[in-house]
Amino acid sequence: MKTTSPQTTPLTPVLPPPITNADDLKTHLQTALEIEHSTIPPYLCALYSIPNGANVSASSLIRSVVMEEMLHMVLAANLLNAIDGRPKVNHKGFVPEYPTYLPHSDKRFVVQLLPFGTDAIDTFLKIEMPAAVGAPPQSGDWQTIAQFYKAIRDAFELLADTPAKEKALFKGSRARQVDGASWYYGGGGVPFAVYDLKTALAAIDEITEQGEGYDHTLYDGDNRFGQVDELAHFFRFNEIRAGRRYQATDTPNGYPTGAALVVDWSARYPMSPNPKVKDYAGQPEIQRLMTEFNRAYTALLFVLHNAFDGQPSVLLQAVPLMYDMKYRAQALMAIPSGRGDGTTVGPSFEFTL
Amino acid sequence: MSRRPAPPVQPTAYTPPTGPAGPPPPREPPFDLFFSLSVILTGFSEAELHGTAMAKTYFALVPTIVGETLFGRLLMIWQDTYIRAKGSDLLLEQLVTEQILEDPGIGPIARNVARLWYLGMWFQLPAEWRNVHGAWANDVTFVVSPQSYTEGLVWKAIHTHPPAAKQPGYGSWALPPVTAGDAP
Amino acid sequence: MSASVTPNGNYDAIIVGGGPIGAHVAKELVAQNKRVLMLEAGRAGGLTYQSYRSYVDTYYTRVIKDTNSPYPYNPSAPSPNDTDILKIVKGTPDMVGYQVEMGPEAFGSTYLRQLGGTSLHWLGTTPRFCPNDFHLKTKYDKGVDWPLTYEELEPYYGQAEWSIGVAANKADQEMHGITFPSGYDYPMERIPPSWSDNVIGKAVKGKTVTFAGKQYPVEVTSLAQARNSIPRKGYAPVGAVGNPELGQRCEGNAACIPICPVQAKYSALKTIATLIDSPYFTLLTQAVVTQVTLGPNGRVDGVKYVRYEEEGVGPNTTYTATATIYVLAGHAVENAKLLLASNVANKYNNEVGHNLMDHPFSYTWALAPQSMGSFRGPIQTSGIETLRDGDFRREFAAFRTDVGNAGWDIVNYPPNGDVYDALQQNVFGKKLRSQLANTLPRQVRIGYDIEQLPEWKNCVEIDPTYKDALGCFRPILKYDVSDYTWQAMVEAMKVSKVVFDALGIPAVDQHFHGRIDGVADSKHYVAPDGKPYPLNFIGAGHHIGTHRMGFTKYDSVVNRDQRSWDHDNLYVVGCGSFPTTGTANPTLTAIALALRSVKDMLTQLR
Repeated sequence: MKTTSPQTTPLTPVLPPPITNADDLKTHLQTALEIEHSTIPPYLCALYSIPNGANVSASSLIRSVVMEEMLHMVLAANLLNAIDGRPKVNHKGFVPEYPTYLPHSDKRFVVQLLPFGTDAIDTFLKIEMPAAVGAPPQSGDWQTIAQFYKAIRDAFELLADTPAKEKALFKGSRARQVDGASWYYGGGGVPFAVYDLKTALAAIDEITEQGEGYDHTLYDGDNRFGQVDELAHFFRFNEIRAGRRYQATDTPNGYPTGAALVVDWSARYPMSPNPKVKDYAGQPEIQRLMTEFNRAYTALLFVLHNAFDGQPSVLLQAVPLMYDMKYRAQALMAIPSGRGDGTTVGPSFEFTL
Repeated sequence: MSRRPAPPVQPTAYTPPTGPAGPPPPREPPFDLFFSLSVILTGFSEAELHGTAMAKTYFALVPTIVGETLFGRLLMIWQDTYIRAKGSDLLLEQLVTEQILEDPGIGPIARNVARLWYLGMWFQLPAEWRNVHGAWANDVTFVVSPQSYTEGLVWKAIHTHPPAAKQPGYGSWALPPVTAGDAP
Repeated sequence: MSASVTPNGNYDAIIVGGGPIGAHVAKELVAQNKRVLMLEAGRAGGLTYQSYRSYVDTYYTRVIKDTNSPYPYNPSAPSPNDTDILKIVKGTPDMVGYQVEMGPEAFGSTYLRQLGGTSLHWLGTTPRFCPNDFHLKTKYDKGVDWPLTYEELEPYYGQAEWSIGVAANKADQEMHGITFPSGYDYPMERIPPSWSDNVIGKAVKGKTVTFAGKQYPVEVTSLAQARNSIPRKGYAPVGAVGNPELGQRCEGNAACIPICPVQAKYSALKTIATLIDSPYFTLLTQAVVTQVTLGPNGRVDGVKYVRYEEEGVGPNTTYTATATIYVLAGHAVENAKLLLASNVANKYNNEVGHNLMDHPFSYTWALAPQSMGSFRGPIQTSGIETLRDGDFRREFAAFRTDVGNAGWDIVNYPPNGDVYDALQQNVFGKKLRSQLANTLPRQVRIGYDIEQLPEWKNCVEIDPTYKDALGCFRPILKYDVSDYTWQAMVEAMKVSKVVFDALGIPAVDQHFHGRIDGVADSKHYVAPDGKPYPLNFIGAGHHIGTHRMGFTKYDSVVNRDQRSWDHDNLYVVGCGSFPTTGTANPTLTAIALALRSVKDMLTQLR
């Protein structure tokens, strides 16, 4: 640990303490679940603000990222269940109020619900920012998500560094694991059970590599299940932002120099940022439609909660709910907000029973 | 299993035009009149109609099929009807029926506007309308666009989705259907 | 590899037709490193996701969404279309479409000449034949026997089910003597039954119908179907061609006929896509085979085909291709047409083209007292399968019962007419909305795929008077339905009555025959009890029997291996080889037969 001399201010912030016990690890894994989830509403708002048929490539890329974030949620829940933790998803506190900081981050940037646009994509780039080479693990006040997961990874290795300790740590019931293609499909990968150090590290690596890339490359090293190597999330967003595809000779530090990726930044519904039901007090029909979306979203949270709480097969219900949310969100995006600024309504992602 | 095409549509009886002299020229913008008329004809709210993103398309389409004059007359009579109803839903329904739907000139057009919203399709106007007002070149039965089909309100009305679009997801057909007491 | 010009070189096998049967023969031969040339009359659409998506967009914009509506019209390789199938007035053939219908009954089914074939627009229901279906003559003194038993075909059923991906639970399919080897399971779990399936199933529990003095249970069971579902161990669902993560599960698009937008339903495109890059596979599309030619020893020595660049525009060049063996897989009508045009396979009999059959599909419909959640899910997820076999087959035909999920679909094509007519009555606004909400979801339709006996007079013929834009023969169909099937339509209504009564539907809301738009009924059938019944049916989409297999060369076109009796190196495969129809949707059995035939084909290709 660094020490500071009394006469100078520290040039780097003091690192938060590492995770040293199972309870602490459980808390941090619950936070991981919240982090993964908190990126989904912003990504979906950008995605659903694109009218059908427009910006097909950008749409497809954003959708692929969302599917992988869903997978990350499942893996985070598996990690937590593996060490006998209890994921909690079905409560108001699980849902951020946008604009928000990502949970336990160093609050360097704000995350909002925005329509597709350069603002939105720039935020996504910040969210998925890979850690710099040699960046330290950070269990709190983290600068990048990757550093947060590094702290978790270190914790697993520390707490399971002998066979006896490993056995004691991974005492969660196998039946609570969401495993295989039975209940989860549609892209993003296949969830796998976590039940020992090896599988725990594999799960963490899957999350961080899909997000930021494998070993400081552009790709996610995702041939674990015979999948094609895909660009990590950060680089997919960069392709959209730059309007170009990466090619094999590009590097993570450079710009994409491949084929053009056509983006029409104006082909999007101008959703009013960070919508809230209460903002439409004078328009009860709009409030009703927003509330129906929120009910579907909340139902999804309950499905996820129950799936993570010992009934993995319930996850099958998630897909119809996500479709329902999509169509409701797309319809909301097309409704003029009535604020006189040319903006439209959108999904507010508020916890609503 | 094979599927056969729809049976032909039956024509309606013709009645000669009656009614008062034309109402005063509209003060509301035509699009707003078209939109509020659509709300009444379809039974869906403004927000729900906006959600289809088809309003501007249908507003632009109708006059290209039946001409500006008749379309304008429909909107003017609608405005007059709306004013006369003085906020009474019951009176409005009665006046819409008498002044618009039973008018041989604009009634068929109004019914077709409702069909546009419900099915995304324009239906060729009945023979007796065409005999009086002419056989307009664009007046053929057609689906307006792929989007108009997928945004047809009939599917919402019967609590489902258009075939081959807005898929509801694996297993959704096993869930209990929405019943009358649930959300419209 | 895909050849855009005439391929040269000799082939081990030439396959005529790029549908599911041809694709499976190709797959098996290529797996043995045999050189295969596939000639497909239609275009090669659908091998990229974008081109397939264009079919979906076309579907959206078609006013009449018939079975071939998503697929491009092709005057150089025309297909029959629903809109061309009209009621036949006595003495006046219906010549509106590609096929010429002489009657007396219109042959009501369509097929598709496009890469992927009719599997592009099929429903995807894949039951196995019952063992007794192969012995109709021996068991029930009707029709003829197959020169093949269920037990002999059984291993190939399993192979077919894993090749195309069938979703089913064994327990639902073990009926009427259908057995599975121990350890066998379907590759995917059954498609979830629909809400209305479950409502109906509960309502009819314990109920029976009496046929020819015997009682049969009325029970609802899940259909085996080639639609992606939760995979079992050892199987990975195959998604859309060119977009494999799409279509990994049925998503309830409810448009199976005529197109699955996500390709959760099997089509031959999926099989062909796995072959396209093989050096052993050559695909030539826009190639209409016009003749099979014979060498001096009676063996086939080539096929002639016309290649068109632009549909309907000539002149077009004719080419010849040669191979060791030739496999006609153009479906029952086109296979027969080609054999007739070539004047082959008729040394000892005139069976080619004859014994044309379908499953006449009769239907009943009703309005349930509560919402059934209609218009959701695959068009059919369950059936009532208990009448597929039984002693009553001595008197009238067996049938499958389709419990539909799409409201009154083929009865009056909701919802367009419902919306149109309501507005014609000036029902508008909230009243219109609630009228639709209170009626359409309550619609129930029960339909019957009924067995039809082989009759020589039902046939495909050709005549120089009727040719298409390319100068090829148009098929002439002569078709009728016998009392064996009419009587079954009458009997089948008993099943609907049980269902409708069990659902608490008042008699006034139950409909059993005729068409509700007032079009004249097809047939006033007088039953043995003396009562007249106005009956109607549509085609099930099944073309069966035109080059049937048999025990001897005197009464059939091909042998049990689908090899021509007359020409050693000619195979004619597909549903046209069936001697009888059974009650099962035929595609799965046709694929199983083809897989079995490959063994014999390989003996010629050592």
